[in-house]
Amino acid sequence: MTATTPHAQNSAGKAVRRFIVFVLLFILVTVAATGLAGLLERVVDAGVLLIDDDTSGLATWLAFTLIAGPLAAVLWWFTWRGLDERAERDSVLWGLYLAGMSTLALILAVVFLLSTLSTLVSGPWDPQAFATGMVWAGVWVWHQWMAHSRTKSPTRLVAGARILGYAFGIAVGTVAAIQLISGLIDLAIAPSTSASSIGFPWWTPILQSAIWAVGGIVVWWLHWVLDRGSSLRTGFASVMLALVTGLWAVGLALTGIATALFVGLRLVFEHSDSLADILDPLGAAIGAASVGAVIWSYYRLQLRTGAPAARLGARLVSAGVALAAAASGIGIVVNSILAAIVAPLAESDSRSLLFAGLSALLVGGPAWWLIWRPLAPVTVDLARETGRRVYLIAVFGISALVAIITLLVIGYQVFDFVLGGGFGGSLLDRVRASLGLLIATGLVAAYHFSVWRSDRELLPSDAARPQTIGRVVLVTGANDEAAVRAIRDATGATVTVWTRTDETAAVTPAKLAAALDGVTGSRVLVIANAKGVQVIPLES
Amino acid sequence: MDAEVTDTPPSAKPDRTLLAILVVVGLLVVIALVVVLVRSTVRETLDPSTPEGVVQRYAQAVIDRDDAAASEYLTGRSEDCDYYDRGSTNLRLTFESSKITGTQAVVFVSISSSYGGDPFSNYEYSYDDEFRLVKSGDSWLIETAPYEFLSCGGN
Repeated sequence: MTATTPHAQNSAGKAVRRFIVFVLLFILVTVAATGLAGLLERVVDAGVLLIDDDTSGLATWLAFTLIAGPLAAVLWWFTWRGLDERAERDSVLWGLYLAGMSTLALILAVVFLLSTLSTLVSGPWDPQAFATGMVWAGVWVWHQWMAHSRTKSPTRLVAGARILGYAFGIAVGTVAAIQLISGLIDLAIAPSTSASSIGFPWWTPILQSAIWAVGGIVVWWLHWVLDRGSSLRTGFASVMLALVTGLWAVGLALTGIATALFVGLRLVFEHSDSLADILDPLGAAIGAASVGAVIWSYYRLQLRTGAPAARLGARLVSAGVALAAAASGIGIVVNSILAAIVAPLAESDSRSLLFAGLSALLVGGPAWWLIWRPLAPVTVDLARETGRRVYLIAVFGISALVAIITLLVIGYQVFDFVLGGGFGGSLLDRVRASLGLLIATGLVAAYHFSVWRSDRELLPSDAARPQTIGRVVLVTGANDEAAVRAIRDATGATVTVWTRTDETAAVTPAKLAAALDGVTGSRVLVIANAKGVQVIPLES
Repeated sequence: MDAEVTDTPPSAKPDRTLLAILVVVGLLVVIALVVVLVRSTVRETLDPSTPEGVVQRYAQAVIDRDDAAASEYLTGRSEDCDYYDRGSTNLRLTFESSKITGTQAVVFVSISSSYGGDPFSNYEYSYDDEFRLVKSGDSWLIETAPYEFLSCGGN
């Protein structure tokens, strides 16, 4: 089957045609929207125009709108009509275009409309931002309408735009909510030093943050609740859920708590800086801790009912975040020891560094302990989880990267010192920060290496397992991990699963293993249905 | 096959490694507490008649925001006062070497500056700089200083 069939040529040609059409449509819609926004700005700008000689600007907007607009409309019309055909609707490019344009339009609409509102609070009306925001909001609504069409909406990559949309809402809402809380706390602690006292009334920045926060929450609500983003169970949905819960929420909460602890330690033991300087990061710290905790507690409940992969992913990502906090704490503690050994001529306060390290370690360490549960027994199933293995490899990878960078820095400083660059001084003082990180990284790598090795000991080794079949293609109703594992264990084969659409019955692992017993060959097709298992050895 | 493997007890190796690491971390924390807290009470002070002794006292006065004390170590000809508000930046001055030629002296130092806002962005950067001093009678006075160590008390 090496000769190209007319069918294959045809489908390749169609794929190239679709690619070009969607790229053109993307460009034309973007250009037309830009032109329309420029024209709309001139309409809504109510200010008295004293001199208007900006003909080139007007010409650009007119060209963008009147050339790209009709072309986009025509191209869209043909594409839209073609989507009656099932093959067109099933194309991955259609899903990709819709997700890409929806996300772009959403981001531009939200950013420009919210900034219009928030600049209104402090005074001037910004017609340009308003016009751009309105036009892109229109583009977004139009694409939402297409995405929700009963007969023409894409069948692939349907979840992408919703997932990116809710994540964008969370990002905007979180940053603004932290600013809001931080602004309120700064007002309460030190009203005179807060930025709001310069030029604007105290409530201006508070109201602006509130507008952005509400905007972010609305965007999140639209995608997560109204558009049912919460019910998605795809791989990308799991990854985003793990990132939102593990990286974003836990990361914010831990950073906030560690910073608050750091401020507390300095407040009690350090008196060299002014009170306002020490308290300066407290507002943002409390904001980050509380917003992170709110997101985490909400998504923790969501994860309970969600896909198991998302749950494990979120746990591993948060363990990684806590580990990073604890490791950087250890690094700073080592740094503070070395800094204390080298006697400086003069310094602000030698204890700041120690307090920084202790706060990171005291927050990151216990969090890591609670999330990773190092003393809990490791079962074979857990050791086999792809997520756990990826996590361990990722920890090694990042450790190796940090080690290489710190070694390079230390090497540079040692050679620079030996070759007599600079004015001499203390070598230890130059390398202490890198040395601290290197030691912390070494400890992290050592622990995870021992975990990785004991995980391997738990699993039946690949070498001991006889490989009787090279590759198995399993055709089954349900793509379940247990069946794949059973085939891999029994034959040592690489397994590809083709999920059938006419049947949803899963096959028991024991049946599969029994059916494959004694079968050898480089390629084997296994068809499983409710009645039984059919094994077909294929020519290699 | 699965039952057989599950029956073997989980390896004790990670536990031992974990224990060793916890001991190391605990020791590091204790050493850090002792060294840093002891060091912050005991500090070597250099001879005030040497250029580095003068730089030490002047720099500590600037760090402590004691402009009056700092001005005693400055010549009248110190440069225009361009006040540098360092906020909660931590400064650390390490002596590297000094060179005396007649009535002039240069003290080479390494300055580390780090912003101590939160524990994770405690980025520290170091660079080399110098203090220039002139002899006035028996004592040395500072003529130029790195910009972080400018004091407005003298003018």
